[in-house]
Amino acid sequence: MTPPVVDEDLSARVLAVLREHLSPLSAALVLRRVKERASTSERLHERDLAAIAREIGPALSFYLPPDQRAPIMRAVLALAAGPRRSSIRVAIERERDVSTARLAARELATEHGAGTLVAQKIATIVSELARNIAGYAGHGAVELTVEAGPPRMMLIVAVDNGPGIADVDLILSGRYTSKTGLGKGLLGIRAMSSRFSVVSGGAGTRVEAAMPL
Amino acid sequence: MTDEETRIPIIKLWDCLLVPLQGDINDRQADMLTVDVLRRIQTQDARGMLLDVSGVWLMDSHLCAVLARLAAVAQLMGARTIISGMKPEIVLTLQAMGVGFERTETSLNLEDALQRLGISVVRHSDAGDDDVVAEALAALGVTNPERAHES
Repeated sequence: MTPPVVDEDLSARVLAVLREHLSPLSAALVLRRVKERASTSERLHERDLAAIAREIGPALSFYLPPDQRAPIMRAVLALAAGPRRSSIRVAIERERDVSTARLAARELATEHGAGTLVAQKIATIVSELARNIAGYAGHGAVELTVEAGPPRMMLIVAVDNGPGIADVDLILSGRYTSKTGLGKGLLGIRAMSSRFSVVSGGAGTRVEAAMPL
Repeated sequence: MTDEETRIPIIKLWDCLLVPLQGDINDRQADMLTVDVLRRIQTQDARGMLLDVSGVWLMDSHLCAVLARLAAVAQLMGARTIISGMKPEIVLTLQAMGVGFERTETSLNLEDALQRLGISVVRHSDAGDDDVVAEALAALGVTNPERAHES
């Protein structure tokens, strides 16, 4: 199933990329030139990709020599082409995988247009879940999937085949202060998620959480 | 990486200890840090510890618990801990999760934390100028310039 076209105006994000390499004035002028020639409306959309590809080089050529244009062109085209992946899976075997997982989560969220705070929350949820797997189960995985909706959501699923969480209901009721801190993490995730579920038993644990992008 | 390479540095700052944290802290590093901090508090008679987290981009409930434990242990040795430099995204996320530092002080930045530990800045214009002033006052027989005009 192809995701519906997200009619996002890419102008702001293209401008941000340009401003990393050009003065504010030059960046604005490049963007304006690209928009005038590439877009049929006042905005830049993913469907304008072919035109953006045609216009970005010439627009930059007024300001930069060819070798300096290349990285900017690549970055702008990556933006216009849209996110290349809508789901990732990170295996959690040891502590350092927790780091990998949350960085990947932040990246995926950002690729799909999440603001810094939403990306931070998603990465934090992943960190909590991955740490629980590494600390208590030893072996599992975290999967992130972008749901097209609408509304667009980030779905986070953490699975392991560890010993399971005893007294899940008690922990989630908030009345029990777990000695291990596991409870705080799960309660925190639930507080931030619009959908949340935990299924845990002797065969392992599965936590699902979803948040709007 | 050896333990030495990943050991978190502790910097003496007058009678305080400055601990700059970067990235994430694994359990091994946390244990080593705790031992190092306790030893340094004792040998330097430190009365304050600044945990600076401005180099940390994500704090989850586990890291908060690690830092809170570190602060509790330092307090047992009479040292006050202030956590400084939490990024806005971290603060907002912890708040949304209902996770926080109930018993550990936090501050916006290092300057604020130092001030709260009783350390303030007096900026001198030039080392040479201070000497001139000191000599002149001594020659004039003024020991306390603040009170020179009191009768």
